[in-house]
Amino acid sequence: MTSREVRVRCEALGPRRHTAVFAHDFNKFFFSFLYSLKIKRDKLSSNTQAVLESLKAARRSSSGVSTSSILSVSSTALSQAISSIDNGKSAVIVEVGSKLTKVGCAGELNPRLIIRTEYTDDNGKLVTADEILALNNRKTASKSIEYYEDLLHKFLKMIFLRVLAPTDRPVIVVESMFMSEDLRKAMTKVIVERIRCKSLMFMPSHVCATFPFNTQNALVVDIGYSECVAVPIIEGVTMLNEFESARSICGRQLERRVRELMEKYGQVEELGGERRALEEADWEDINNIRLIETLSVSLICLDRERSEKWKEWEAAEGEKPSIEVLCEENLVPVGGKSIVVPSVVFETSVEIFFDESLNPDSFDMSLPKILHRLVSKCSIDLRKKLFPNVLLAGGVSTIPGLMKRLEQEIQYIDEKNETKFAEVVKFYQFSEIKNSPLFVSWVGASLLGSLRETIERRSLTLDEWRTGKLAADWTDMIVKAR
Amino acid sequence: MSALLQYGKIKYECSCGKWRTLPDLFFCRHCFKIKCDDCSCREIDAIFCPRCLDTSSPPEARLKKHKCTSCNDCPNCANVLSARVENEKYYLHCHHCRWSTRDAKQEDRESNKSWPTKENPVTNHLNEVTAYMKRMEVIENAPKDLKKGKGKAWSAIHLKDKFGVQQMVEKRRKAMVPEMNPLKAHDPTEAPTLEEEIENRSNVLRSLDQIIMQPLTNSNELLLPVKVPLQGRVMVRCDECERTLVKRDFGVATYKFKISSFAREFIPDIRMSRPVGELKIGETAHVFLSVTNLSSSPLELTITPQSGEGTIKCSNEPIQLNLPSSKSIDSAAGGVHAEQSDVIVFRQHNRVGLRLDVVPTESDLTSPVLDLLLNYKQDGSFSILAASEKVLKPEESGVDRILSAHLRINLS
Repeated sequence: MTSREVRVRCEALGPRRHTAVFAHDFNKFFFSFLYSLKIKRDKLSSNTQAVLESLKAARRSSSGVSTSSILSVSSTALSQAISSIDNGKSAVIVEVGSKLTKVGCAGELNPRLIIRTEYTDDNGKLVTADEILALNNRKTASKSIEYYEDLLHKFLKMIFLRVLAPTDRPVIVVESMFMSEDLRKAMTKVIVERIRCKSLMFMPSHVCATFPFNTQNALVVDIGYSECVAVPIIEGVTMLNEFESARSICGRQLERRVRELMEKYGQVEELGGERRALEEADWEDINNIRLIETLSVSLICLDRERSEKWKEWEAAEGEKPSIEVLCEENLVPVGGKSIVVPSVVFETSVEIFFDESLNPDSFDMSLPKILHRLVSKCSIDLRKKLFPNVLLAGGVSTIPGLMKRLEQEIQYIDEKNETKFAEVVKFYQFSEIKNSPLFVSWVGASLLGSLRETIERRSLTLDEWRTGKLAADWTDMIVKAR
Repeated sequence: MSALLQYGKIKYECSCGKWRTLPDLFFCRHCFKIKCDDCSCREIDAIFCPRCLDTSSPPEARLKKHKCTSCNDCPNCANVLSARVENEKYYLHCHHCRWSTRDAKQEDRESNKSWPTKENPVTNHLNEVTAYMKRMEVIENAPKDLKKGKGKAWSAIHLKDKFGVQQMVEKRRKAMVPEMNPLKAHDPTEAPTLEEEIENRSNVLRSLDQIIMQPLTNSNELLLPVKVPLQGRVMVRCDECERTLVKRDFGVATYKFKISSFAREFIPDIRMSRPVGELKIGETAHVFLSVTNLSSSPLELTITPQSGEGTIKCSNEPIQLNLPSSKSIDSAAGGVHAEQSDVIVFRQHNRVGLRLDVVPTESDLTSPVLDLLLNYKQDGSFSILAASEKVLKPEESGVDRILSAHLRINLS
């Protein structure tokens, strides 16, 4: 889906405003982070009237516990105890990303396995993530839906059977908010009908990302391999109207930039110690050992002052001025020679997130500008809540220094525009696990997955699928509104 | 091997419409249908470690978090780590990249089992969050259960409070209502500076594969041995009748089958016995095939060349053959003798050689495909109905049921 299509899709999101208003009413209600889901589920069955009814019922329940509800509380606890005797059937949580797939069991605190989203088919051909998830983008999906369903089927079968036996378990798929409908349907069909899992539920990844931090307010910025999506969550409700996304801020563009810089500054050191420029054959070696990818996960992000110096360095003609470096140049041995990766690659590749002019093919704004625009779109009482609650998710956001730089850039824009949103910029983070953004959404879904009854109620089973029901989705609201 | 036997060139049509080679297919003896990978269900019947072949029961595997306790992979290159003994103490060593646990600053150990791994440092926090979410769930679900129980007759007993029930209920309520104890959100913190984040970072680059093998290890920490993830052994079921098609014998190391219903044993195996010569437009070319009956029943077989869109034209009439079963290969084969026929090249136990004539047209040359339809009759041994079913539903016993298989041969 292109960002334009998304925008069109979201313009139809008029009713979303109401959701936000409801949220203010119900923010006392404890379970409101599950709420956005609940609304979705209910709207499936009927019109907005039904939604209102359910909301009222929920409010009543929060107001006080009546005598008979005590008994029922106890009975739930009992039934839970009974079902927990047989707790072997915990849900399977899958997050299929455009680079990595995370798989594991509900209730566990880290994924059992993180693998690349790719598999080798019967003929020994590598099927990549682009093909498996091709349905996400209609323009590039040139083959029939059945063909892509088959690819998905093979991939999911492979990961399920290698890791877990999900046939008698519920499955939770962590989805990106803008996953296309075709891909959703294909996934539902494959998981429910062909692999015959017990039930299936989709969870939006940005909501999941807030669970481990137990927070209701966050500005979730998910920087993945194929795109960056930023969306505010206020009192547990996703403010969809205020979302921002950019295709040029992602792992793929980062790899492109690393390649560009390597072409410009990379060298080869022969055994004798003499250096020469990279040649065609060297590039083959580089691709074979996936050096570009390795480099793009070893980058650092400099602060503003240092990056200014690097800009001067790059602009300088002829003799380059000396510069203080944090990452020394690195020699990567390959087949009797070494590839020289200079500091400039490590230290300046991430600049594409902050400088639009490095992305000539795209009209996207830089990351801090996007976030600033997002916040200024929010209503006035919410603006100050967002920057003190930034939550970075997605593998690319593990780059060291990215948070500090983001803070500097945002505050710079804030001062320039004379707005006061960004006086405090703070981040949700587990400082002990630097790679946590890589799987934080998965962990959130896993925590949610440990709530058996909730999962059971919100999941889609094979019987329901056969009667034509689809898995709950936030876009149902828009469809109904039309 | 498949290239040698030319399996890749001959594809059979599965009951789901896909084209597959014969070894890829199964045959359901109950539905009498060909089944492939995509139209069969898979189930895990054993969980084992791919290195030491040690099986674990499902609860055991769950306890181990699907990781083998005794086998380790190299964190650098993902090859097998082998144990070495020095002074009666063990350390692990990789033969491929020469990494060893001593590089990870791990002391040699008395036992080769349970090498340390990095635990999740925020376990406590996440467990608290889980417990909180569970409390929320109970409270959220309470009103729903209330709705369910509405049909019951309402009694005023607790209003009168004749027997002190109200008190009891109150007591119970206090005991049963889960305490809310709202859990505070994890506080957002200041961004760490770049210097803090890259402190002690090693100069050796870490690849994506190394990172995802142990995502909990930070870049300034040393890599530890990676525990080998367990794998599932798969059994295959028919997706229609859910009967087992393939099930292996007890024990992971065995190559025997308890139940096997591979299509080769139920469908005549057709292969090219000689490579096809060069195809020229309008000229007759010969295709030499061998038909083998690997089943336990003698087959009465009719091979009908199909001509249609996109397939090469074959000038042969339908061929009728009698193939003895693979068991009774000593008995002489019936039917027309090879010398008396243009089509039959040789007869050999349960195998017959055929020669088919094809006339390519221009459109065939890019991808010449010969399309054959097999119809065959078996003696009833294919069916595995229980004895009672045979009596109750004789029409389903499948004795006279004519089976068919549709295949395409790529002649290029």
